Amino acid sequence: MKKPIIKLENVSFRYNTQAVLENVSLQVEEHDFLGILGPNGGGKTTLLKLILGLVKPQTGEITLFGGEPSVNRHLVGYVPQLFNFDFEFPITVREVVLMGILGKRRFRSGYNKTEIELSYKVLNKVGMESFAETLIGDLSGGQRQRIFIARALATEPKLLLLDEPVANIDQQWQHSIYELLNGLNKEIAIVVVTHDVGIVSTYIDQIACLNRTMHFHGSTKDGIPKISEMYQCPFEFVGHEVPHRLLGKHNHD
Amino acid sequence: MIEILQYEFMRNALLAAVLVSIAGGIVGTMVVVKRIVFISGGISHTAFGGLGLGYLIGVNPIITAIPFSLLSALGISVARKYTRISEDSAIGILWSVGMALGILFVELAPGYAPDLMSYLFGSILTVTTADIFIMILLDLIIVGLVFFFYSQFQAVCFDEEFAEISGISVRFFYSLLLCMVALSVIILIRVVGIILIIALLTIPPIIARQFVKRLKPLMLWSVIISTVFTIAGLFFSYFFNLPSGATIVLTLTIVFLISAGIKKLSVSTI
Repeated sequence: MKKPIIKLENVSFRYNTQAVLENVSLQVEEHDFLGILGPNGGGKTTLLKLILGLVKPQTGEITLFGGEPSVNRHLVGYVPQLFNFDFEFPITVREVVLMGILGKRRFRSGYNKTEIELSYKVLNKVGMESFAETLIGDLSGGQRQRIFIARALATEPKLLLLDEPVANIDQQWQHSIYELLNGLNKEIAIVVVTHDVGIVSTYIDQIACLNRTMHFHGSTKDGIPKISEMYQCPFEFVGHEVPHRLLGKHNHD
Repeated sequence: MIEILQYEFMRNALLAAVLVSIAGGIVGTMVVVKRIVFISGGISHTAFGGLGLGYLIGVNPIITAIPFSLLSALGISVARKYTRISEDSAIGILWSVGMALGILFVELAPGYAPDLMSYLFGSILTVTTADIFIMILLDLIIVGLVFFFYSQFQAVCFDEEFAEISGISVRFFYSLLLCMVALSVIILIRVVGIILIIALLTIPPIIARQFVKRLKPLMLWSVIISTVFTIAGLFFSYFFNLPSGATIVLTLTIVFLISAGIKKLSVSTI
């Protein structure tokens, strides 16, 4: 019996008077690999903030690991968009990774041996252990993304939440990052939020489309060719109906 | 050269140069990498209200400036979290309100405020032994906080969102960072004055940053650069009879321009 990790029931969220999300319901279970697809401005980032308890919905209910998102969010390994960072910032790869451990400690700086070892272990997992003392600014986009995944893993999460993990990363690295996620998925659930339909499709199990409202399409195992069909469409002005039709398969509750 | 060290005011000035550089170099590094220079400007100008209050009630203005700069630091932090006023608007308001209150207090204070200019533009040669003790105390607080919470400050400066999610109290550490800026402001007032404080918080880290890329060495080198050129500025002002605060700031600026030139040359020859 699979346990629900994320559960959203009829969640609506608005900024001022503008509805960003309406009546969104979603359930993510252990070992799921879910892709949430949607155009920019479709509410993807808001959805992530809701799941992480950074904002609260006006209506509806959200549970994370069966409890309050803000209480249980430490069980989530969050990988933010690279886009938001100042990579001039003086911080080494190891210092970035150790941020994942920092939340669990109080009033002490410096790290003990176990923590340093953990940082090498997660760097090893993403294949970046030789870069521990490199500055984050000296890495390529794909390498940085691996470091942020390692940092998320250092929190020893039960769920990985990734916001546009391959945006602005070249093709070769995109594949290697999804390969990496695929491997990690053997142990933990993964949710990827992206507007990039093409690459997601070959790796993920389930797809939900988000553009203010959400449609959960369930497993894509049979529908993969059709998703690539959808990729041909100009995605920016797809109303929700379009990907819906192309996917062909609807598993609404 | 040595004989001027016999004067107590010169010994105090040299000590003050070191003490301001410790605060300015460490906190300034974080101000620069976190890009909160404007916020720091707001905090320093708000402190002027406290200086005015000191004149009004007849207390050392440095002491009364402390609650003002701390309150403005916390005010900015609260405005950011709880109100819909944007951070830079909040800064704008606090900045001007602080200055307005200062002027009002000074006007209401009995008599004339002769050394008001020295609080606005600094006067390192008039630093008293009492000022030195306040500076030492505040420096110890800053160094202690950074020593204990180095990783937390680095994490919050680099990625607030992740820090929050992973369980670090971002609001607490951000407020604490702004309070450290407030304390550095107090330390710096006597040397460069309210209006020139930003220079000592930003120029040394910016010079260092061209050559040093890691956070701890950046702090250390900022302190060293700041110490050396504050003292250099002090001597220039002493020998050429120029206002000390302005001379220190311009000395640092010239060093910055030269270092930027060296950096540019060394990059283009590689």
